[in-house]
Amino acid sequence: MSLLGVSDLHVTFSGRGGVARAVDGVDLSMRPGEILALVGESGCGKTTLARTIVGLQRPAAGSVSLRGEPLRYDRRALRAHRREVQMVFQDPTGALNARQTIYEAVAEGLRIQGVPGSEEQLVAEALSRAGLRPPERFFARYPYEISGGQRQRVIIAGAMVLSPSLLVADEPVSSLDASVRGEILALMLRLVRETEVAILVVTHDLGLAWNVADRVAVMYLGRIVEQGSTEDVLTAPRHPYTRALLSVVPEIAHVAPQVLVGEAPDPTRIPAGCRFHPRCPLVASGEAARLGIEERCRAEDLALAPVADAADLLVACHAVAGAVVPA
Amino acid sequence: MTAVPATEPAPLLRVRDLHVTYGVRAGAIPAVRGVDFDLAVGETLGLAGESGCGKSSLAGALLRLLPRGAQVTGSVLLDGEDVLAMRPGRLRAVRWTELAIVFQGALHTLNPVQRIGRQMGEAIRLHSPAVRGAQVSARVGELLELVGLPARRAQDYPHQLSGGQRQRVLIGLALACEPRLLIADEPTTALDVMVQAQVLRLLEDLQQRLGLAVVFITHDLSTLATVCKRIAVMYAGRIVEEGPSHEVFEAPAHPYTRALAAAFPVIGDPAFRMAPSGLPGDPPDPRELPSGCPFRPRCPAAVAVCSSTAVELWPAGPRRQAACVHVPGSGVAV
Amino acid sequence: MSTVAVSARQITWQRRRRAAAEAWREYRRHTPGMVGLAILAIAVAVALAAPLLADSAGLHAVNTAANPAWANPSKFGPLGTDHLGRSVMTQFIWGSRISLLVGLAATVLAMVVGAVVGIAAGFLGGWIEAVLMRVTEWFLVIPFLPLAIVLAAVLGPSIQNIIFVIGITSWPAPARLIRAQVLTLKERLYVDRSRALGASDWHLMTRHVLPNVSGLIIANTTLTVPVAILSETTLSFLGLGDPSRASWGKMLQESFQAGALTQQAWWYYVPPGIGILLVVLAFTLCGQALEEVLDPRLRDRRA
Repeated sequence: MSLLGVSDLHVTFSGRGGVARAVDGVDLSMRPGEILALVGESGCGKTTLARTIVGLQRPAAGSVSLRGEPLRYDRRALRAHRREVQMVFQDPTGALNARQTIYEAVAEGLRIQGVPGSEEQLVAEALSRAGLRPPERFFARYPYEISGGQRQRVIIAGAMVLSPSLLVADEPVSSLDASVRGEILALMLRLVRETEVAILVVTHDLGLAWNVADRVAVMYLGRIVEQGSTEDVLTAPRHPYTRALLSVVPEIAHVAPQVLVGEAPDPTRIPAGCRFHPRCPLVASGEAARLGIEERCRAEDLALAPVADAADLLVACHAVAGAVVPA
Repeated sequence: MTAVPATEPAPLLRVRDLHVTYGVRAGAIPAVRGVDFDLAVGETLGLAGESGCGKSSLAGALLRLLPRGAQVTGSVLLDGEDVLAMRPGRLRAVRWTELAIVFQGALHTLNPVQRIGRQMGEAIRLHSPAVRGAQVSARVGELLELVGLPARRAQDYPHQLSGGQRQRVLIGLALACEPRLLIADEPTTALDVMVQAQVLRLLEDLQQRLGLAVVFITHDLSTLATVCKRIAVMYAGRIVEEGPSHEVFEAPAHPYTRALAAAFPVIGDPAFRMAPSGLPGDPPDPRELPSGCPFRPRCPAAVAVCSSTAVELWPAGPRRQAACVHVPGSGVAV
Repeated sequence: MSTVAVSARQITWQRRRRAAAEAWREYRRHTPGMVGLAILAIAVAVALAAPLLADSAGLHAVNTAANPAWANPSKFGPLGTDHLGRSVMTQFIWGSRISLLVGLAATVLAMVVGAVVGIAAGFLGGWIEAVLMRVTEWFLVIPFLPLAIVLAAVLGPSIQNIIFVIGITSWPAPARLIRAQVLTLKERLYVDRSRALGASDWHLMTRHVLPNVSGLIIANTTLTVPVAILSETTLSFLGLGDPSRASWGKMLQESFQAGALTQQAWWYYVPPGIGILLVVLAFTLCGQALEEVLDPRLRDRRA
C-alpha cells in the first residue's frame, strides 16, 4: 500500500539566465515505515523535490499524492497535507526562531493545526521521544542555550508531535558534529520502529544512506538516474554516475577514484540526450563508442528502466541492458 | 613531552606548549590547552576534531591572526624562529610568504565587489611592491592555472564562480607568495563529495609539485586518512591521539578517535547497516572541564581511575601516542 | 499534568521578565541613555502635573498691573511675562503637554501605519507590495511642509489634525525600513519551518516577522518622536496650530510676531527653544541607548 506517490513531477524556476528545470520528470513512491535516501550533489534538485513533497513548492507539472490522493493547493488541503507530511531541516539553528522557547517551538505545530488534547503533555512526550529528557528542563530554554544536536532533536520533536506519516529530512545531520550524527540517525531509526513513520532523507552523504536507508535513489540534474535497495545501489551500482560518486568516497579504498571533470552543469542548460553524457566516464574513455551506444548517449534521452539481473533496481543508462527509450 | 628522534632533520614547524585563552571578563575560556607537534618540510599533518575542540583557534594562533582578546603562550618555531615573539614588521613579512592559511568558511571571505584577479594581485603587491602591472597579471594567471582554473577567470567576480572554484581561488591566493607551509582550515567541508575529491586531488598535486607542507584541519577523519601522512586528533583543547594516518584511522587507540572513525561508515560493510554509531552528550564547555580525562563523561570505556588521572600523551606504538589510560604505555593500572 | 501546565507558561513568563530586567540593567550602563531618560522623565512629569504646577488661568491673563506685559524674570515669576502679560512659565509648563502629546501620538500613528504597510508589503509581495510601495513612494516624495500647510488649511487648525498631518507624512520612511528588514526575514529557515507546520500568512507575520522587527520599530520610534515634535513646532510657528492651546511652537510664533526680539525679551523665546532642544536630545539619546541594548544582545543570543 503506497504512502507517497510522486508522478512525473516537474518543478521549474525562472530567473536571469533562463528557466531552470530543477526537477525534470521524477517518479517516486514510498511505503509506510520505509527509509528512502535521495542522494545527489548540490544543484541536482533533491532539495527542491523534498520541498515540493512537503508542499512548500508548487510543481509546474505532475503531482504529489498521499495514499493515492493528489495534493491540491488550496489552503485547507495544504493544511491537511501538513498534518501528514513534516520536514526536518538542514540548519537546526536557523530553523528555530531565536525568540521562541523550546516549548513554544514544539507547541507551534499543535497550535496551528488545532490538535486536541493537553498541549503540555503532547510537547513533553514529543521532546522525550526525541531524546531530550527530562523534557521539563527544556521547556523554558532558548535555542542558543542548547547544542546543535539538541536543536535538531527539538526540530524532530516539533515535527513528530503532529504524528505525521512521512518525515522529509533535508540533510538532517550535515551541519552537526560527526560524533553527534550517529545519535540523530539512531533516533530516526527508532522513530520508524516505534511509529511506522516513513522517512525521506535528502543527503549528499552516501555513508549516511548505507547507515540508515532501505532504498536509495540517485539524482542528477533533476532526474533520478538509479534507484533500488541500498545494497544493490551502493555495492553494485550500474549507472556510471553512481559508480563515480562511490569511487571518490574516502571510506572506500579498494576502488580507483574516478574524479569527474568539471562541476555539475546548471539546470538552465540541460544537455541533450542523456543528461550525464558530457561528464560520463564511459563516453570520455571511449567505452561508449566501443559498445556502439555513443550516438544514443548524445542524442537520446531516456527514463528509468528495470535491470535484468536485479529485482527492484531501476537505472537510466544506455549501457545497461534493457534500456528503454521514451516514446 | 615527546622526544623527537635525533636522526630526523629539524622540522619546518615546531609547536610547543601552545595555549590560547579568550577573554578575561566573564571568565577565561581556554580554547587550546597545551599542544605540541612537529611538521617536517613537505609533510602533511591532519588535525581532526569537532566544534569546540580548539582547532580553529590553533590555526589562527600559528599566524597570530586571533581577535584582540586572545592570549597566546608557548612557542611556534618556524625554521627555528618563534612566530609568537616576532616583531610586527617581521611577522608581516613572514605571513603569506612562509606561512599561509585558507580559512574555514572561506567561501565567504572573498570580497564580493572585487574581481578575483584584483584580490589575488593584492597579496602579490603587498609582499613584492617592486612587481607591478603586467607582471602581477601574469603571476595571477599562473596561480589560476596552478589551481586548475583558466587564467581568464581573473576577470570574474566571486559570485560568478561555483563553490569548488572559489575554494580553488582561495588556495591559489594562499600560494601567491610561494609559502612553504599551508594551513587549510576545513577547506572542503561545505563542498560536495565530487568537488571535495577534486580539491583534495589538487592539494595532493600541489603538495608534491611545490614541496608544500600542509596542516589540514577538518572534522572528517576519513578525508584525512587519504590525504595526510600523520593525523593528530584534538579534543577539548588538547591532542588526544597522534600517529600515522592509516593506523590511527583503522586501529584507533583513543576511544574518541574510535567514535569519530565509526561515524563514517564503510560502505559495503554489513556491520554498519542500520547501525549508526555516535557519542552521547556534547563536547565539554572549556570553562567547566570534568576532572581527570575530559572525555570521561562520554567515553564508553571509562573506568574509575579516569576521573582522577591527569591524562597526557603516552606511547601507544611505534611513532604513535594516545592520551588514554588504556594505552599500554600509560603506566596507569586500570 | 496540571502542574506541568502551570510551570510551562509560568516559566516562560518568568524568563521574559528576567530578560526585561537584564535589558534594563544593560541600559543603565549607558550613561547618555540614562541622561536622556532622566530628562524625559522630568518632561513627562511636568506635562502630567501641569494643572498642579501652574494655574491655567494664567494662560488667558491680559495686561494688568498684576501681570504687566514684557516683565522680565526679575520682576515677575520665574520666566517673566509675554506681550499680553501672561506668565511665560505657565505657558511653558502647559505647552510641554501639547508638544509631547503631539510628538508621541503622531509617532504612534506613523509607526503603526508604517509597520502594517512595511510588513504586509515585504511579506506578501506580488501586487500588494507593488501597490503599497507606490503609495509609500508617493507620500515620500511630497514635500512635508506644503502638504502639511494644505492639509491644515483644509482640515482646520486643531490638535487632532496636527497629529494626523504629521502622522501621515512620517509613515513612509519607517515603512520602507521595515519592509527591507522583512524581505530578509521572510527567507529565514524558521519561517519555512512554520509554513511546513501549516501556518497561515497571518500567523507567520504576527508570530515570526513582527517580533523580529520589533527592535527596529522601537529604535525607529525613539528617533521619530523628536522629528514629530519639531514638526509640530514648525506647524505651530507657522500659525497652523490650535490657537486656543499653548504649545512651545506657538510660543515661538507669538514671540516672533510680537517682536520679542526687538524688545529683547529673551525670556519669551529662549525657554521654549531650550525645552524643545532638551526633549529632542533626550529622545535621541534614549534611542541610541536602546539600539545598543537591543541589537547586540540579540546578536549574542543567536550566536
